[in-house]
Amino acid sequence: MSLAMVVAIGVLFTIGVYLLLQRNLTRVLVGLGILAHGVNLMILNASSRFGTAPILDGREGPISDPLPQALILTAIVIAFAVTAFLLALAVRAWGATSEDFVEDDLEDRRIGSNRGGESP
Amino acid sequence: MLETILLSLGLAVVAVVAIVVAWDRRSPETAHNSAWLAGAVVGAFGVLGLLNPDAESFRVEWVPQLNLGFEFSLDAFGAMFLTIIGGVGLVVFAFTARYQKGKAGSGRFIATMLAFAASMAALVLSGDVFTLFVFWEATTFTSYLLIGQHHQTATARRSARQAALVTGAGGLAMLAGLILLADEAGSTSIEMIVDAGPTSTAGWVLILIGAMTKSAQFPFSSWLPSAMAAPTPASAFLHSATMVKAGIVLVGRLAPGAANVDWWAPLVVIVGLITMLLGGIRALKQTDLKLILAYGTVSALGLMFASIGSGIPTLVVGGIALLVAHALYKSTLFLTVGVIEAQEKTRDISKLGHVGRSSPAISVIAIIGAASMAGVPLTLGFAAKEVDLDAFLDESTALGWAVALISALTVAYSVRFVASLFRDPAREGSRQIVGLVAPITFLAIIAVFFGLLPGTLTAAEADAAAALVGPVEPPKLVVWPGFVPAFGLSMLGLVSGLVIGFWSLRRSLTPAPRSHRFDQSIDGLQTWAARVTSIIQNGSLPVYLGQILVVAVVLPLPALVRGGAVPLPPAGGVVEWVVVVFLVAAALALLRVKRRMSAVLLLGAVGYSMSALFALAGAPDVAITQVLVETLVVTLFALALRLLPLEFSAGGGFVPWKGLVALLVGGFAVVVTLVSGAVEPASFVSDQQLELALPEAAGANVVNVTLVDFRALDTLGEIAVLGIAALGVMALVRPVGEIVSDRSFAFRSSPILRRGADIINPLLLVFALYLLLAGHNQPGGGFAAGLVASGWLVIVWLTSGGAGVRRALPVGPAVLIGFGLAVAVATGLGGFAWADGFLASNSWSMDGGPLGQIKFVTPLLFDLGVAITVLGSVAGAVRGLEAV
Repeated sequence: MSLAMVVAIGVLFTIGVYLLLQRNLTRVLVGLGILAHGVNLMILNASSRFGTAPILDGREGPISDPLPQALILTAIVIAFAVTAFLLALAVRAWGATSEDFVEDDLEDRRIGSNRGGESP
Repeated sequence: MLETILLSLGLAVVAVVAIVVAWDRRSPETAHNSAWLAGAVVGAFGVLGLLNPDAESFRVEWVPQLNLGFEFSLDAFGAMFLTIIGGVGLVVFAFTARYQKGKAGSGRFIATMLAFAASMAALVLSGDVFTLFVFWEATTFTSYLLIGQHHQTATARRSARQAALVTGAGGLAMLAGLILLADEAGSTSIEMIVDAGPTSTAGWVLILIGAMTKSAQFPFSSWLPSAMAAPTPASAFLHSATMVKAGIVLVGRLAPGAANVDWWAPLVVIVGLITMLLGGIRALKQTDLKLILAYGTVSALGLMFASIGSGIPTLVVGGIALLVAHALYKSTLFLTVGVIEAQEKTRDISKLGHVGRSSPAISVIAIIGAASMAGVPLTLGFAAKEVDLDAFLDESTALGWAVALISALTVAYSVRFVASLFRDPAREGSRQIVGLVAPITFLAIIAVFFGLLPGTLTAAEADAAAALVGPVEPPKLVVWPGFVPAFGLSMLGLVSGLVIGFWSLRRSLTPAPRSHRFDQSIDGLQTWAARVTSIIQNGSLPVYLGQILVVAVVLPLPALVRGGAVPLPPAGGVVEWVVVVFLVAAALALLRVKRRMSAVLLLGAVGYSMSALFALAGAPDVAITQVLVETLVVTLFALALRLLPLEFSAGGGFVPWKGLVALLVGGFAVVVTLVSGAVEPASFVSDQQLELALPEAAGANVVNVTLVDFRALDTLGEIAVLGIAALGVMALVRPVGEIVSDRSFAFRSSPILRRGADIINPLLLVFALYLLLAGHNQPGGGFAAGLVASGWLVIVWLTSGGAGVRRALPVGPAVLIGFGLAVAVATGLGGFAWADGFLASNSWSMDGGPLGQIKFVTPLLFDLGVAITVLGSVAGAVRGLEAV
């Protein structure tokens, strides 16, 4: 772990979350991608052993922890699948409304403002 | 021995419950008779209690890793309680058989009663705190169902909810307390905890709260009068004789362990006596026969709670004497009320003045029961109260006087109960129902027997007390105690109680207004919840996400910062900083960018920087995968964004609260990174993986070995997700293509790209094959191979369009995905053949002549499946998105 990494993680999380909180679907998707990068970097840094690649070819010296790497590899591929799926959703939403803008869910708001579900 | 007996009894309970329910299904009109079956089983519990085999215990492990198990032990106290459950239960079921005649829901009622009886028996025999908790909750649950038996009425539902919430919350408090005590004592066995004498204040307070809710102690007593909405047999059985004493069982069992907690005994005595006083006063205000008894039960429980819960041996002896007497007379009286209600269709004492003369049998039984309740000489109640009063006097004169004076209230409500039946000189009334009176007569006869010969109980009660607190002086259960101070106080209480009782009856016969405070607080809670919901559920997705993020960040913060300051990590190398500066610049630019495609390209730039960082950190596999995925992501975005306007719509202005949330999460991420990086674990999971990779999995690339061997099941799940997502893309986008087909773009590709593709395409396929084969020992593997092959596919698509893709790859994406998954699963199944389980690996070497030693490892097949699935998924996503 280095200070450079920590800076990168902080920036990726901040910008990822800020984009995630937008109403434009493309921005939300990009934000999700950035956030995923931040998380992957965080997993990498959670390990405290760094060195050469974890390939056992008889070299001497410290090697990096393989477990976080395997986890990140999995996470990258899953994030890819999720991104593709969300893209398709965005396209579908655009096809339906010609908008890629997340409107307020009025139905949800109506349910939320319904005071006390129980009738006497 | 005990194990076998309890197991058979448990099986019998299950079998009879099944029979009762089936009986009710088949012929509901005769289902009330199934109570006899239930009674027989419950009676068997009583027989076990009577035989009282020597103290025996056994344990059945449940989750040994968590120290969870079922432990039962049968000591004298448990045996005494079993006898009460069995004896009272038998009479109650006999009563039920007639009581339920012509009523609906018999099967449910009887089955639940039996389930309760079994839970209660298990509760008193529990030798382990978690066993105790499980059956404690089981009694809460069955009690809830029984109170709500007439669930068609709002009163029953409200009362059931109240009982469930109060005793349920108490049960949770008790669980927390039990965990604290068990943790301190280092054992979950009740006996060990008592021996260890833990001193955790929080633990003992929580235990006390649990016991107080269950045994309806002040201020948690209001649920018990509400519980009178239950059918009378349930009230007699649960809410007077057995379940409400569970709290007393709890404090009785644990109190000896509180010897080192000096506030315990005084507090328990004060709580008990206050409850006794308030219950007695309220009983005098009731005009409902059953409610007089209910408040009387609260009052009596108060005295028992104080006596047994104190853990002081002489008081415990007295409390146990009370407990036995109370179970006997209170169930008699409740059932008597049941008969009166069945005959007269009312429980209002202003309308029952004739019952005393028109139903002589009932009135005699009522008098016997009430006399014992009041503690009139020649009853068991009298003998028991003398013992207890004597013990209190021994403890302190003031306490003795207090108990004696409060007892006057007990006498008073007993008088109110009986005298209200004789206010009307008329002799005509409804016909007595023999089937109901007979079981109660049996109880009354037992009561008279013990009243005249109380000494027959001496040994059993002394043993029971000894099981709780060690050797004790046996109780002096006598018919005539002589002119001792306790007797004098008793007589004083008796006389003043008589006066108060008649006075209360003359004073008022209008019903006391029922307190709705509990229901009001529940309603208030719901109103408040609705108000909060209307604020936080406003329909805005950003607001929802913001709430989730803030909660996720704020909650763990205290735990994170508890460790104090952590050292800053080293600055990092120059190359690293260059990459990070580039990454940060690209990310920051995302905030200001106006065009969609620019945003996607910047996302790609961040991704490539990431891969550089991975490469620097000694993670070549991750770096390769990241580069490939990033390329494909940009391609997919480009495909999808063709349709959308070039620039973002307006409304992307800076919103302060979003910035604040983002900074909060970003700061949180930094703290988590620093804290987690500062922790030096004692051992690494990966040590084992590094050690086993070569000998066990025959692979040098530990990351790849982890993916395809150690954690292959995860990878299998992952590629399944990948495939499903691709199928989802295809399914989602297809209809859109029909909607917007007129906006399809004509395909144009540049000649330069086409020439370049001719050269690079074969190279890509060879490279993919190399990555696949080398991946086990060198950077690479199935994912990388699949992604490179996907790159080939994308280039084919860019140069010759969808038709070209179909020519180059005649198999559909769905088929590819299915085939890839099938290969992976088949490799997994092969593990049964060539190794010892699903996905287990094996390897073979052979001499390849000029090629040298050739080694084949089964994970290679698995990786092939991965690669094919990845290719199929990307093909699916491309085909889906390009179809628009």
